[in-house]
Amino acid sequence: MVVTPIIAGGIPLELPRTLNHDRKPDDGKDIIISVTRDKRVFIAGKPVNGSKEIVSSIEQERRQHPEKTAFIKGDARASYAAVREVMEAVSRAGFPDVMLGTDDAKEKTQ
Amino acid sequence: MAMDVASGKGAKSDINVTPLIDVVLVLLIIFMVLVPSMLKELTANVPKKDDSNTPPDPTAVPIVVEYSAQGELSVNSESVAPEGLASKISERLKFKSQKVVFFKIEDEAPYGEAVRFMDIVRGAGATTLGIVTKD
Repeated sequence: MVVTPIIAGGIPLELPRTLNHDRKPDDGKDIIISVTRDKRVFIAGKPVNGSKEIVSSIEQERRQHPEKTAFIKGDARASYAAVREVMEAVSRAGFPDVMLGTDDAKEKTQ
Repeated sequence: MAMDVASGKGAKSDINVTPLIDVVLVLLIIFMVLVPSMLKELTANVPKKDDSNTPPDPTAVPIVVEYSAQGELSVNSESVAPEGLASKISERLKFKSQKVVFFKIEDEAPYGEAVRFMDIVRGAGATTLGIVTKD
């Protein structure tokens, strides 16, 4: 119970904390794109370098799984530019909208 | 289970804990599966680049929240304190049929701050959040 979320999370991220979010169970229908503090990008757990590769990898994922939605997990300490670049790539790949992963502000207080 | 050698007389008085352990283990597995599957999210719409040449409706002025790298926050070029953002947005959203708020955030701003404001705006009643992209 303690170890499983750590293994499932994979890439260590400090997500922004929010109060007004929707909750949704992980139905496996999300392409999870992670952006770390030092601007590294992971798509479904695989590291991706360079903005061109980000776009092509997202497009490839979209072609393989057209029913999936895009889910961006951005580190709160990352610069907005890094996350915006990924959001633009997601938009260019043809996704109508994008989900941003956050943590519950009520659950974790620092 | 080990077989009891019938040396003693009468019924065996130990409590059988095996079914209890079975149930506990099943519950443990259920929680292990459920815990990582609770993802939390905020939805945001990324606008498509406009290809059509239809002019925008002049009466509908979109609400644009701007945030600079220096930490200055403004709503439609009117500067506002982070504490006053919620009231400002809900006041402006009152007269709108579509609760859409756009975000124009400078690249050097921290992403965490950007999401914090998105959260505030969402709490103020916006249903759709849009992100302004560059050409």
